[in-house]
Amino acid sequence: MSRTRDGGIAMLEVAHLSKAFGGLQAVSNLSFTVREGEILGLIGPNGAGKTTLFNLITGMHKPDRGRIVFRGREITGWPPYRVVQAGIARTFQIPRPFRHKTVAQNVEIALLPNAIFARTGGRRERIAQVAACCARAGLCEAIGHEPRPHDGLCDCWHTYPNALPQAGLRKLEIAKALANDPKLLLLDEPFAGLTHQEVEELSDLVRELRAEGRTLVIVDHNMRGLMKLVERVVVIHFGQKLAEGTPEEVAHNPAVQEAYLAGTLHEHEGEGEGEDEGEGEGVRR
Amino acid sequence: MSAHTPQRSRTRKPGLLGLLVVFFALLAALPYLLPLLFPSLQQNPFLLSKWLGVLITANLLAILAMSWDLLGGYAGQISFGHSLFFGLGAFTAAILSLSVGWNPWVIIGLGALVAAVGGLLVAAPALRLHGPYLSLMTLVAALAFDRFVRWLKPADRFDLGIPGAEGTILCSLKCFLSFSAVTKYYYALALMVGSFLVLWAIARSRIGLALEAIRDDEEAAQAAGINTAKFKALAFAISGFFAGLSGAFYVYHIGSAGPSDVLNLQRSVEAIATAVLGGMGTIIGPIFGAYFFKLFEEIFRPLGELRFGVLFTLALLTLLLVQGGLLARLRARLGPGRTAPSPTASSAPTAAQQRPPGGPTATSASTPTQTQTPRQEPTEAAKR
Repeated sequence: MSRTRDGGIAMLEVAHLSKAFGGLQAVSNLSFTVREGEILGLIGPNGAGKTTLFNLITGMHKPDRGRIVFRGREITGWPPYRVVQAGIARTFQIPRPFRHKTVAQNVEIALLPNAIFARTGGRRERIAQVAACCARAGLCEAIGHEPRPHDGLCDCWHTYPNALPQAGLRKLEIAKALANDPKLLLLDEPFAGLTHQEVEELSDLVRELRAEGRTLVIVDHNMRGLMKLVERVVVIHFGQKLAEGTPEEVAHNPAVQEAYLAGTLHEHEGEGEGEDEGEGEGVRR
Repeated sequence: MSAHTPQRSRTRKPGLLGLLVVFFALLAALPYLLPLLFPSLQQNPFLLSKWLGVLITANLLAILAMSWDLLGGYAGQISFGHSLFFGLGAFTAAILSLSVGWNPWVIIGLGALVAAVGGLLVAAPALRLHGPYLSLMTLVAALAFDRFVRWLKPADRFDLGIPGAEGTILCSLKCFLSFSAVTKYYYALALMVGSFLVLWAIARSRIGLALEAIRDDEEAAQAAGINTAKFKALAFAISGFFAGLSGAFYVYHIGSAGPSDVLNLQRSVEAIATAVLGGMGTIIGPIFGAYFFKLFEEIFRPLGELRFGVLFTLALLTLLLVQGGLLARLRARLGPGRTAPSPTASSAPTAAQQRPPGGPTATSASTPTQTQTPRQEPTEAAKR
């Protein structure tokens, strides 16, 4: 495990990563480092290559060039399930629950072992883990059940994802990710389409997860909501790194302001931002 | 009930499983029931043999359709070439019975194993393909194997008995189970019930859950840490095994293996139609579908070649009118007044999956809204 210039421990190192789809250079010679225990904001306008970057890190796409090193091990080109086993989990921008399975079964799927002949008795443990993950991600409230006072758990075996509101689906995405007990959690636009109160709730959850010792990378296309949450920001534009630094530094960076067409980056305050992309699709079945 | 354990709704399952037990018991009693019900069968033992033969083919179609259902209904890998696996089992059984002549059950088992290997071979390219491309690949693979066997004419080339036309292997003297139609019927029934139990157990296990996750959203399944390639390959192998089992037994039933019979694409279509009519993603459904299909085929036999036209038209109408399959309709009768998707693990896909988005029942389940009240209703309904 290597150290960053200012002494932090590098958890994830992305070096000279490139990926093209046909003639479109989605990610171009991109390098950055995620430090252990931080909350990193990854921002950029729509189409900047943020989701592609997540897909490259999690093994859904193979990079054309470059390396990805996670906790000292090169994971470039690993299949997604091995990346998950190594300790990286992600959520999708548009929640992708397994619609025909209950909320709890959705989480159970993430807990399934890949071995065909696993030892018996695994299911009992899994059931307990499912309940813990659901409760941890705040799904009890989303389902409309009060967590039981003595252990904070609730019944999530009888609700289908279709019954969850958008914020609940986001929590389900996080519960699925937590089921794999990730060291590094990648959240793809978790705040898009949420109300102010829901954003606050989710921000609290993110802080709690960090306090548990997890590292988080949050993608957003603007810094609203991220300003108070993240310690460091990497700005991506046309697949390249445009700027890096604290939220204040980045917000006052002229190049960043230009990229965002005269400062919408830090001035945009409207609620319901992001409804134009994904919100409509998020409720599709 | 405890608040955080899965309740496999016990009030409902006995309805369907109970029905299945009654159905199996009825099938077991059939050789004795039929002559009682139809006195004409008493006077004509050949007529009884004929009807038992029909039921044997129904059982074999049920195994083939169940094997298709695990791959298509659960893993979402729609195969149009299941005749390939059926044929692999059939030709393996025919060749082995003539060349080595081991115990029939060993040979039938080996036929199934060869078909399972065939499943793995098909899985290799299938892992890279999706949707129509995958279906087309399975179809072309089955066609290619068919033409290959016709060219190879294994009976001529390897000196296996009397050569038949088009590469057909005639093995009726060697691939032989019993003179008694009743005994053969019980063998086929036992094979079908055994296959059902194994496939049902797999579908209800965590393997089935992983396959359903792959069917619903393969990328999300990968993100959830599932080795999708491995589980898909496993589904192909298991599906191939049972399709091959059906094919191998079929050879022991009719005494020959011919490309235009066991590798006929109509066989693949029958398997799909049976599974879809019975109810995809249920394993139970295809059993009912198979009996439905074979009995109607026999009833329409006086129509001659026209019977397939009538039969497939009937299947078409059933597909249109009974979306979700016969089983879903039956289930609706057994458990009335249910609005939410059923919590019985494997039953939920049938109703919802078959319908296009916005279909009548898909929306009745629940509509995701931002408001507090409506989203609690389905939960309450599902708990009942």
